[in-house]
Amino acid sequence: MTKVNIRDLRTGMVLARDVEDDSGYKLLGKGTALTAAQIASLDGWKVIDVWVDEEKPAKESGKGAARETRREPSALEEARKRLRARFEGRLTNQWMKSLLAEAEARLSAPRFWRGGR
Amino acid sequence: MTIERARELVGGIEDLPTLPEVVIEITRMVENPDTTAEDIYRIVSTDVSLSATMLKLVNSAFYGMSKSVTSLEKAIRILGFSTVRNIALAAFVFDAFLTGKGQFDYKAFWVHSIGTGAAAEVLARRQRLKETGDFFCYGLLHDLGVVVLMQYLPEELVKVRGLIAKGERFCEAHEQVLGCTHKELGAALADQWDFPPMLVSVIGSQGCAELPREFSREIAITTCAEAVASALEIGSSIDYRVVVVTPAVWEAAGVRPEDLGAIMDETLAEMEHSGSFIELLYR
Repeated sequence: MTKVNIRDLRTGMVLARDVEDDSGYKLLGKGTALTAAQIASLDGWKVIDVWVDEEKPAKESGKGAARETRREPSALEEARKRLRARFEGRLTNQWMKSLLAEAEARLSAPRFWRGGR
Repeated sequence: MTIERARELVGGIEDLPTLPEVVIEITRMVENPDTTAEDIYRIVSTDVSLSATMLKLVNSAFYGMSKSVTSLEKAIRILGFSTVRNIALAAFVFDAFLTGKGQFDYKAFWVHSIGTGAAAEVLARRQRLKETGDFFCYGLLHDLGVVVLMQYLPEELVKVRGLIAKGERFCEAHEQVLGCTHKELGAALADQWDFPPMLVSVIGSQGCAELPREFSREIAITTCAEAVASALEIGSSIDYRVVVVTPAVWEAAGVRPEDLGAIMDETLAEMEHSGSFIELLYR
């Protein structure tokens, strides 16, 4: 297993250990395959470490030509998934839809205050 | 009544910070028609740390000013007295709860609050409202109830989180465990500190529930501002999901769906302007 920084978490990663905040409160359980919503839900809680299972290498192809390994979702795609998870069930009017669309368009805008994230 | 329950809970907290004398005095002076700006400045300057926070707040909240305001004395002369009072209250709360016990990341929480303040000011400015600095304060303080839960009610917090983990929404979980909403908790505290009625009302409004049929423009703007700050992921609040704001509230804040892009850009720009205030979080 490897230790991963929260900001490097990706959907599909499997937790090798429980995720706890620094008071020992369990946020997510070992064995959970992380969804975007679960990653987003860690925001704001003082989580110390996150341990995930090592990703299995892509199966080798028996064929001659080099096979593309499973494409890693980019950080931007992950960010988009987390943002959409925040809006799950909330797109109930035109404003909320526009809010999501405009926020998505600005995911790459620099945020100096982000610090760790 | 659930608000009574909130008052009970807040009343039972033993180590609540008390309003500094200076802040109480400012409130008294603001209500006296003979008070001058010099009078207020004289009192404020006796509390060095409060003055410093106030000045940083002023520089964040008044994006329209072309230069940095270097003197609090000048700021007090330019702003309305009521705004000065709101800034003093906001500075007091910010300093009192800068860090905290418990599991929540206070920096992330305050960044979210500053973001809500920035968005609220943007919305107020678009409506050409005066005293846009007040709106920054409303945004900054809108989630005071969350602070109460985090700081003073750790056992209840664990129960609330337990329910959320089982799929309950934060507001329902909070009501179930505490018998009141987190907004009512905040309003009860603001009330106990004798905050001006508008501030109490903004702190106490919405959250997850729908607004009552009549609501002020201040509440509408603060509510929309929170949604904007959450969508931009400025800091973190206790619920990672964005609150639904209904069409009536957006309209009352003067926002059309097509305005949201520009509003977001202005909010991000305003956050840049809040740099020195945000630095207070990392000192």
